[in-house]
Amino acid sequence: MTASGNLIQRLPTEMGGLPAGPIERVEHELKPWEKRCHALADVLDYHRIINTEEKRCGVEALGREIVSALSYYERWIVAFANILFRKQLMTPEELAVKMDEVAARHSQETYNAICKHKAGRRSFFRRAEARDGSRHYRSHGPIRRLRSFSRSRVGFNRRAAPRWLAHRRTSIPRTGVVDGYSQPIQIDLRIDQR
Amino acid sequence: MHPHDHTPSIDDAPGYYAIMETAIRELLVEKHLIGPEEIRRQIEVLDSRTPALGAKVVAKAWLDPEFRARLLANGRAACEELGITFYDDTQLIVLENTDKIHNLIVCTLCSCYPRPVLGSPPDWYKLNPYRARAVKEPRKVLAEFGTPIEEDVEIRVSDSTAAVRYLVLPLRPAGTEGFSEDELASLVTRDAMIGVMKVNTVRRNIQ
Repeated sequence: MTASGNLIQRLPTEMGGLPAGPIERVEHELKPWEKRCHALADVLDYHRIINTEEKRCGVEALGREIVSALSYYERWIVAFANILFRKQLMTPEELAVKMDEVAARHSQETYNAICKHKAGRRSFFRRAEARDGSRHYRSHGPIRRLRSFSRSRVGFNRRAAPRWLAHRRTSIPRTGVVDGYSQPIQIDLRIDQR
Repeated sequence: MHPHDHTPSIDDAPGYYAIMETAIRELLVEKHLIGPEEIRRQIEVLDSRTPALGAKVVAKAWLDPEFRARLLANGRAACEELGITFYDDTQLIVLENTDKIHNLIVCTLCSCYPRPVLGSPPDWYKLNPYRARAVKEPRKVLAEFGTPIEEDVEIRVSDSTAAVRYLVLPLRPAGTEGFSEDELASLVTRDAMIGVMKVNTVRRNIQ
């Protein structure tokens, strides 16, 4: 068989029979968001919005590079996003705006928690001293991080915004772009309000 | 960790993909595609699924030949008899180990697993080495798990799909005559129901 003939003998995610190293018996407790992601998969399947096979194909369609770089549930959630775009159930723009909103809400919650917490308050006050012109101000560690964080919260220093905000605009449409060759699927999956 | 030991910091912020999960979920709820309480309810269902359910099925099959026959004929229906609901569209085929046959389950494509009866699969089940090697050199894989299989025993590897999942019915260990159903169930581990281990009489906590 030709070299390219070998390539098409198996799906990109099919591992059976390939050479592989030792089995490391790793296990981890699911993080809360991973558990929610799993529950979301079941609920989407239940409502016949995305079934298990569509999810598997969606992960496959991410391509080898993304699949190897992302963790298990990271692949799932990106696959869901792409499938929902393709089924015209949401747009990349809607998702980008909503992610911005969610990130801002979490920033506010974290900020409140830091201000409420004793140790957090201490670093907050250390920052205030530093602004008074203290010569012992150190521009690394928690003080600096808190500064950039609180500034981005009030929105006058976008460059200091946390990394996840800075990358949002570029990365969503890139992974979320609808592939050019598939026709939009006319579908109305709205369920009755039960 | 005790909550009071934790100093809040901006590192508590959710990661990019966690934010994506929350955003998608909230958009789906806003669009009335899913109900607002459905995710929480499904998490409760998922939390209720542990290998203890599978162990109960196995112990019952060891004690009740008629149940075992029904279980081998239709795994899903027999589990539902015991009140184990299948929240997904999967069928369950139960594979019986005998003196001459040892069964092993795998998903070479992804991570299909009998979740309604065992809960979430361990990470190694989802990772490439197990998926790649289980179908090619099962005897070697089993030996790595500390489960040498005699040369005259046939190893059957079953590759799961999105619609069909497998559960191994392990051999009942010798020396368990007179054990109650609960006592038997306490011997059955998750790994024995995947097929990478045998059940032995040393009682252990279900993983």
